[in-house]
Amino acid sequence: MTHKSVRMNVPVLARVEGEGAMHVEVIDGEVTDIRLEIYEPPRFFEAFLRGRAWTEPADITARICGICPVAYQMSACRALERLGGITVSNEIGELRRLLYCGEWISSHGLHVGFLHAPDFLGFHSGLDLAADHPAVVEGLLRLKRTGNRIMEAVGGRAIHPVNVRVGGFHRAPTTGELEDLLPDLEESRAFAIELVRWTAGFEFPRLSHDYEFVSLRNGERYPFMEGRVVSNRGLDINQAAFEDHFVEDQVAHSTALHGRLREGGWCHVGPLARWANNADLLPADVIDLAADVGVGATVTNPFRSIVVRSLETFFALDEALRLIEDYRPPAPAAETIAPRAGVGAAITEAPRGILYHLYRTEADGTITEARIIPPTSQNLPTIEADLRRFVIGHLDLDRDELELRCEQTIRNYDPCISCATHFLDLTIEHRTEP
Amino acid sequence: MTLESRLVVGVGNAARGDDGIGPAVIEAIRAEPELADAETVVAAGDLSDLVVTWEPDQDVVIVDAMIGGGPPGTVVTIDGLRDPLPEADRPLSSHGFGLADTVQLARALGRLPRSLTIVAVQVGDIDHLAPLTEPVRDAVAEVVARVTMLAAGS
Repeated sequence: MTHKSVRMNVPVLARVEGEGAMHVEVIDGEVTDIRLEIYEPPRFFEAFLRGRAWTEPADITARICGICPVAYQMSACRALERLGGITVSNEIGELRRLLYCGEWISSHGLHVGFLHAPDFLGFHSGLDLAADHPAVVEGLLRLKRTGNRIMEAVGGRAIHPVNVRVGGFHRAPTTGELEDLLPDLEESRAFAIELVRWTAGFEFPRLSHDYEFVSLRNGERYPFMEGRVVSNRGLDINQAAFEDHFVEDQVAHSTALHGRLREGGWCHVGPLARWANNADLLPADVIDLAADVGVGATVTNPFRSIVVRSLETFFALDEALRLIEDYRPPAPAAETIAPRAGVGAAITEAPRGILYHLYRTEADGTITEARIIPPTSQNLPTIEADLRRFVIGHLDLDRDELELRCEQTIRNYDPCISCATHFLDLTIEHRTEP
Repeated sequence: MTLESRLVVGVGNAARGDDGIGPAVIEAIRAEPELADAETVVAAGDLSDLVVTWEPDQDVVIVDAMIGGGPPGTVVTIDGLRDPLPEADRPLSSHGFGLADTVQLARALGRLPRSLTIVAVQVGDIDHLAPLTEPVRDAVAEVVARVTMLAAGS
């Protein structure tokens, strides 16, 4: 038994989109304080959506994130369509699925290669990784560009797409425009197989937990937008009932809310949760590849999320190829939808997990209430719990190793508030208590 | 140096005032018959895609906005392969793979283009939804002329 005392105080998380810090205190082998502090000022998106027109959230909420704008657009549109009482055509739904594939490919590729893989190989950054693994990094850049090209072709541009609207799209791409993507998709799909094998060969720190994995599931195919909210512990609810079962709390050390289940406990959302709840719905080539690299139906070591994220990338490329081969331009490109008074909510699967939107409108479509629950706020308590478990189990590590692994523990979740967390000025203080 | 082997990249956000100089130049080049054969790209935000967009046998011109180079509209030409590039004012993140990082990454991968000329224009106003200021708007023609000269090998 160790009686080690450690205090880690990381005042600024650098390479982050948001702003945060981490504090860890261990006294005589007991973790007495773990806090992932998010001190970024609130952004008030929900507040300034009030009074705006029902047609605007798809464009306004896309601005919340430059990495996952499609997720915000899809959750917003589907919530408002549910409010308006319409269902989009199958063709529009499939085109949205293709757009979402583009976002997963680009976001996952970026995180796997430039933000997460360096942790496993002892590099400071993706730039350092490039010098030693040029073929992998070039393949990742091509893969990321492939995702961006899908978003440009379907969404009008890669960052904050402009072609999305409630009811569908402003314009449907032509068959030729999508077929132009096929060579890049084929090339990236072949590379993604190598990527899965590469990441599966990493050495993974010891950490495992019986998480409550929460994701969508529709029983027919791996989910992006459709399905009920389920968990591996028996939760099975309609998307609209989300707030009956989940709640966010304010905590003193964070301007980001912390999500939890009303019945008690925390959830884990994102690739590992989707995988645990939907692996049986994956195409045979994805299942075979997973089996080949030793990934089973449930992965409980969060460090292995990099492998599952790579497998999801392979799946998204596979799916994009299929969607383009089967593509029939939707006509019309958008369903007719009229404003009305009501409430609508929807959930879609952002790259980092389920993203909930709710809107309440007046008869003319003016928004009177908006609520957005992003995946990262749902994961924050779980990240802190992982940090606690990891520190307790690894007090024997030296300072540098413990620092790296704590950073890596956070990056396992690809948190949106810290898309590229790297700590600065880490101090570990060995204390002797009187 | 031919038009066919030249890639012109306009970097910037057209909705942020003078930061839109890059896209504005690309729009002008596309309307210029003498430059009709040049390959053009508009890039906003993350520039890392450029590493796999340009080819090692291409001559690349990047048009970008800059801060700190004299009065608004001042045009500066930099050799991107030889001159030191200013580091980003924040560390590398997923939301901002900047020009210096992109060149460094291309160098590490052995994917630098044959030549890389950066034509930078000093900005005045970069407010949201602001138009180009007059001196920066006037600089568009000068930048297009420089690109034309580069394409002609002058």
